[in-house]
Amino acid sequence: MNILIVDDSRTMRMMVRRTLRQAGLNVDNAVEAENGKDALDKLRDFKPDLILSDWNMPELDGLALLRTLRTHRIMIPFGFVTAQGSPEMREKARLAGANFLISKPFTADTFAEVLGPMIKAA
Amino acid sequence: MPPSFVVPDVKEISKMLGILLGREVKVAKGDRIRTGARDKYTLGVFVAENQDIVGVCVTDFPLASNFGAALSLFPPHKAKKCIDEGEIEATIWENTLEVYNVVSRYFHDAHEGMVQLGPTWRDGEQVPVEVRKFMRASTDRVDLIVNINGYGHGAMALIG
Repeated sequence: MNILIVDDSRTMRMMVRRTLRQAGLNVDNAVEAENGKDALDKLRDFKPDLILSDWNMPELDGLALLRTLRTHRIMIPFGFVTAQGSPEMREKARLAGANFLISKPFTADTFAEVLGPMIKAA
Repeated sequence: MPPSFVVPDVKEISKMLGILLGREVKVAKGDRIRTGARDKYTLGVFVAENQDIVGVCVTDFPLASNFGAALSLFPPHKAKKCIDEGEIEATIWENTLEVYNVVSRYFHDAHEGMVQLGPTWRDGEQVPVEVRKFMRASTDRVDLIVNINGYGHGAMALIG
């Protein structure tokens, strides 16, 4: 499985990679982007099976990234990994077309539980 | 009028920081954090969608440095160097901000819409008057001593 990791924090991108490994998830290739705009640029050459994105980012935030993708009928599975975990924000994410929202801080168990079935199915 | 901040339980904060940093973090209530003219501290402001201030997280230099080092598994001496020199280096500070970002969760429940990390200050001396006024006016706050296993301890306050 190929994954695009979108987060403006370099450390958080590294932690997502590390947690994917700790969760025993089989990721062939993980590419990083530092905001939504950078993610759209990366998507010209990289075709991920899953996008993991932060919500609050400069230039283009995660919700705007998701809405841009869905507007262009790009239906790559998309999940937020974010400090925004309130029911209201979860609903906003769902309505925009997100497949899931993982709240920071996250554990390997959470990644395995949420991402495991998607990665096995890919 | 709804509360501006639901003061979290210290056990919950301890658990949250433990998961974030991947190591044991002990948290206990402490004395009021020192934010006087001669004190070294760092600060992050949480803002609502209309950019109103809804909360503040203050950390003293040792805790800000230890947060930043522990998040990236930097050796503890990198944090000590920042503490000794009285200046938090950029890579450590970037991580400290990520801790602040996750702490924003404690301000979500009392506010509609998105609450997110807004302006931050690596040096408390630079904190503007309106933020100081918010801190003085607040009645909802918790002052903590946070001990990160393998790194060290420091003070933190969550103010809503």
